[in-house]
Formats: sequence, C-alpha cells, structure tokens
Amino acid sequence: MKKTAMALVLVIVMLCSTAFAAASDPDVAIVSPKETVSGNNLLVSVKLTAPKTIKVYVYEEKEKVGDTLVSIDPSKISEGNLSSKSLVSVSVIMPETFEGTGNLQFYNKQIDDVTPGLYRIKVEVLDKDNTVTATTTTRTVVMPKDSQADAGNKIFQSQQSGVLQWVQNLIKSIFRN
Amino acid sequence: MGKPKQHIEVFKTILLVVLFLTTILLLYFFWSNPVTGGFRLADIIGEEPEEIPTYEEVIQPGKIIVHFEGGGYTVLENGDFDAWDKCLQLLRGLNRQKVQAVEEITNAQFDQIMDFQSILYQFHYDLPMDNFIKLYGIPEIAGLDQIGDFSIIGFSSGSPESLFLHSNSKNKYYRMVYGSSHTSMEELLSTIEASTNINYHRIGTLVGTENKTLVPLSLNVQLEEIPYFPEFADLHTPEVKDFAKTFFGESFDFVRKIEESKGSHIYMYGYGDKVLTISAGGKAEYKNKETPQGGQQNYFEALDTAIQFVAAHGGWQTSEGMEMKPFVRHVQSIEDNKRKGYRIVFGMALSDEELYLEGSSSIVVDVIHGQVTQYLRDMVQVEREDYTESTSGPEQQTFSTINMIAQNYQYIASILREEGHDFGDLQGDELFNAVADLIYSVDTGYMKPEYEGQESNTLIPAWVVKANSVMIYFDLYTAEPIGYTNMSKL
Repeated sequence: MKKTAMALVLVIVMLCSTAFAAASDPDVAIVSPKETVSGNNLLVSVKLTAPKTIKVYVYEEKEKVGDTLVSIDPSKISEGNLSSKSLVSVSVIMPETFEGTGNLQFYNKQIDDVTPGLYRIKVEVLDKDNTVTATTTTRTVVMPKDSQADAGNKIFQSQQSGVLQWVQNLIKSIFRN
Repeated sequence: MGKPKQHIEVFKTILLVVLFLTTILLLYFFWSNPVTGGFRLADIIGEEPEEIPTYEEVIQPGKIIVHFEGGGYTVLENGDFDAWDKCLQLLRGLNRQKVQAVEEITNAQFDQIMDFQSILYQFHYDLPMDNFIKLYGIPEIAGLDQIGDFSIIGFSSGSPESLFLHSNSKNKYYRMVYGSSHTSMEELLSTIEASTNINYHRIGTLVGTENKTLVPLSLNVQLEEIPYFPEFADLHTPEVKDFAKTFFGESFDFVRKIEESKGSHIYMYGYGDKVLTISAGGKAEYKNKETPQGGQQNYFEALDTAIQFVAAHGGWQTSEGMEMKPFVRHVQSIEDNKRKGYRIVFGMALSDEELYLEGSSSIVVDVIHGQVTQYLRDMVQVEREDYTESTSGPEQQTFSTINMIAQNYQYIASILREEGHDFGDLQGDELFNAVADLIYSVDTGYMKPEYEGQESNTLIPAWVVKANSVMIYFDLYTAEPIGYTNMSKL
C-alpha cells in the first residue's frame, strides 16, 4: 500500500508538469514541453521576464540494463515502476547559452528525431561570472504517435452512420430544390 | 497633239479626288474614331493585349498549413508542390455517387483529426460554396449547400476518406465522407514531409497560451531593401491624362481639373458625381456617386466586375518595372443606401513576397450592384535589376518571430487600442497573453512606408503581424516598428 502510494506520488510529480527546482528563478519558466508530447520532435521554449543569461540542457533519462542504456517505455511510466530503476541522464543536445536582454523574451529550440521515452530539460540561470544562481527542471514523456487511420476513425465513432447522413442530405437537397 | 494634254488633265482631276478623300479619311481617324473614343497610334501599329488575371489566379489560399506525421508544422508558399492545384483537381474529380455523407462535426473533432498528418487550405475570407462549386467545375454534391460560406478546406490522414470544411461566418465545421481514400492528398503530404521544410510552431505552444497561429521558429531569407518608383511619379505626363480619361470617357472635356498646392490633381465631373484624385505620391482614388443601376451580385460576380474595371482603368501591371502577381487579400461586405456589395482588397506579390503599403493597399475596389463605387490604386514600379541585386546576397537570419512579438507587445496593444480594442486594465504578462492570442497571422513581406516626398523610395523587408483588422509592420532584422495599416479604414 505504502509502495503504491509512493509510486502514485512519483507519477503525479512526473506527469503533472514537474517543474521542480532547487532555488528556481521566478523570472525563468519552461513553457514547453508540457508533461506529455507525441511525435518525433521536442520543442523547448523558455520564457524570461527579466534580462537573464540561461544555459539550457536536454537529457534523455535512460534505464541501465546490464551494461547498456535503454530508453524507458512511455507506456510503462504510468505504472509507477521508475522508483526501482536506476536512471542515467544522456545529453541530447550540446548545452546552449542564451543571453536575454529585454524584460520579456523567449528561448526556443526544436530537437528533431527524438525517440519515445522520458526526457528532462534543465535551465540554469547564470550570473556575470557564469556561476549558476538558480535551476529550473521539467520532465516530459515523449509518446509515439497513434496509428493514424484507427485513431482517426475513433474520433467520429459517435457521429451518425454515413448512410443515415447521406439519406438526410438527399432529402434535404430534394426539398430544397 | 491635244490628246496627251487632255490625259494630264484627267489625271490631275483623279489625283485631286484621291487627295480629297485621303484628307477626309485622315481627319476621320484623327478626330472621330467612334469605336474607341479617339485616335491611338497603338491601334494602327498594334500593342500587346492587356493581361487580365482570372478569378482562379487571384483567389489563392492565404495559407497552406501542413502538419507532419511526426508532429510539427510547416507553411507552404503559394505554388509550392502545386498544393492548391492538387486540391482543386481532387475536388473536380469527385464522384457525387461516392459521397456518403456531409455532416457537421464539432470544433474539438476538427482539431483532433487535424492533429494527424494533415493539410489545411486556409483563406482569410469566406467564399460562397455554391458559386465556388459552379465556377470551379466541381460536381454538385447533396448536403454541401448546408455549408454556405467556407474559409478552410482540409484533409487528414487520420480520416483519409474525408474532406473537412470550416465556415467562418457560421463558425461550424463539416466532414464530407467519401467512398474511398483521397490517395492524391496522402501522396502530396508524403512528398512534402520528405522535403526540407521550415519548422513552424503555434504561438500558443511557444508562449503558453491557446493561440493556434503558426510562426517559424527561425528563418533565413535573402531580402534587402529595394528601390521603387510610384506608378504616377509625375502627374503632368500624357500617361496620367490617359489614365484619367479612362474614368470619364467622352465627358472628359467637361471634367474640371484642380491642381492642389500639395501637388495632388483632382478631376471632377458634374457636382462631384465622379471624382478622381491622384496624390503627389502617385496614389489614385476614384469615387463614383452615381446610383448603381444593376442588380445585386454574388461575390464572384463582384470579383469579376472588379477585375475587369481595374483592367480598363490602369491595368493589372504598371507600364514599366517587373511584373507583379495580384491576389485577393481581404474581402468585406459593404452596404450603401441598402444596396449590398463587396470591398475587395487586392495585394501584389513581388516574386513570392507580398507587398504591404503603410496605410494603403495596391488596389481596393468597392463593387455595389455591379458598379464600382470606389477604386483605390497605389502601385509601385520595381526594376528587375534592382530586385535581382536585392535578393542575390547571402541569406540572413531574421529576428526571432516570437521575440519580435514579445519585444513589441505593448506597441501592438497601443495600435489595437487606437483602433478600438478594449484591453481593460491588463498589464504585463496578462496583456502580452491577450495580445498574443489576437494575432492570426505573421508573415514576411516588403513594406512600403507612407509617401512623404522622399527623393529615393525603398521597400523595406518586414515582419507583418495581423491582429483584428490591423497589419502591423516590423523591421525583419531588428524588429523595430515601422508602421501599420488598418484594413477597415482603407
């Protein structure tokens, strides 16, 4: 019971926009990505509401199985089994430094060809001496895109049948003419 | 010996008759050609016929948006991949027997289905479906008439046997279910996705709001300032007089001409029934207050009236400079004395880049009951060599789109406030979010600043932000504000 509750807490922390930080800066916020993303690219958007210099890191959190690192299956993340796993952060991009000069601006970057898994975005706020003064982190789960036609058809399942609609349209057009 | 002298006399008589007849004929040509209203040398030596664009050429989607299978978006330029032509081919090739249903769907369903690999043909104005079907040779399909006007046609791989439509005026979404998959659209999407494309994202995703308008994440272009000349730089030329004559025809002799101290020339017929004003900057404005005699026209009929009118009054191209591509930028319903009509705002494109005029537009035509009641013409001439020189340099990175908005949101808000938008007491983040959510289009283009008598005029590469009825311009590389145009006040 205790284990389940712990796992639940972990899932909530991870999936509900886990922007947690050790001394995060109120002028720096990670706008994108949200807790889940589907597709094969990841958009990072950081909002700065004061002139700040930030350094942005993007990692994929991988699981160590034997000697190899494997991506975490996104469908199993919700099962709360991460607590028992040892996660290793693998850098996805070269960290980028962005110097914001205005009172409102955004840092944006699109990372292409990402595979399904768990990712972590870390934003460090640097002072003039390049010392880290604050850190903001968020985790996101990249899900694979659903199979197109199957998922698409589900959207219209509640619609009335095509034949019925066709008859309705036909009657409408007859009476209109 | 008397006979040769007699022959000479006869010859002289014939010569006199021929000369007399030639004189009459020439006088006729010079003074009274009843067909065209005057003698024109071009009628004899011949000139190239005026090219009149077709409605198909001027009606192009404002944006063609592609959503990739792997997520992410791109926006196509008109003409890329022949995307619009392929959509029209698909529509023309529909078999009405195979259409299973035309049904209304919800906004949420439309959004969900477009989240798959999809393409949206988006117009910035509504097109009447029934006229569109007839004019474009599309089969009449039962149920399609319920849509009325439409502004979006879409296709999604999530439902490959369907086409999707949106009526902006009704704010309703529709799905037309077909008997088989539209494979041509699937092929088109695969081709586009396999190509190198510019990445676009929703403003809302980038800034944390709900706005679905797409902007490029980063953009490299080869645009630099281009010198231009107004179409009517010198108002005392015969060309300007010829242009003025086209409005008054036979009654031009009874037209009063006033030259204002600011340099404008005003041609007035009657008690201001018809007035043509050509400003020193070369902008021509014609107003006809005569009561329209025709019946009410639908949009396409009004568009045809406008196209023909422009062709007969200045033409669709300037006499010199490189050719530009006209297109319908904006359409608005208008009414005068209970007579309904349309204001059709035409834009011009230099190669693929649209031309924007501060406080003006290249061509605006008001058509009410088949009569053009107002006509604005503000054309510029760009030399081919100048254009080539300005677009052959190295690519430069533009100012970040989203930071251009972030840096200028208070300026954008001030323009929108001037134009009547109420932001209440919003400030800071809340004001930024409100401004960001009003933006429905962000494009690049060339901007022509309002004429202020400069000796050298240049078109400036610009970001064009469209919100409500206002187009606000920012320098493409520095994001400095450089002017705006209110479409509702043209």
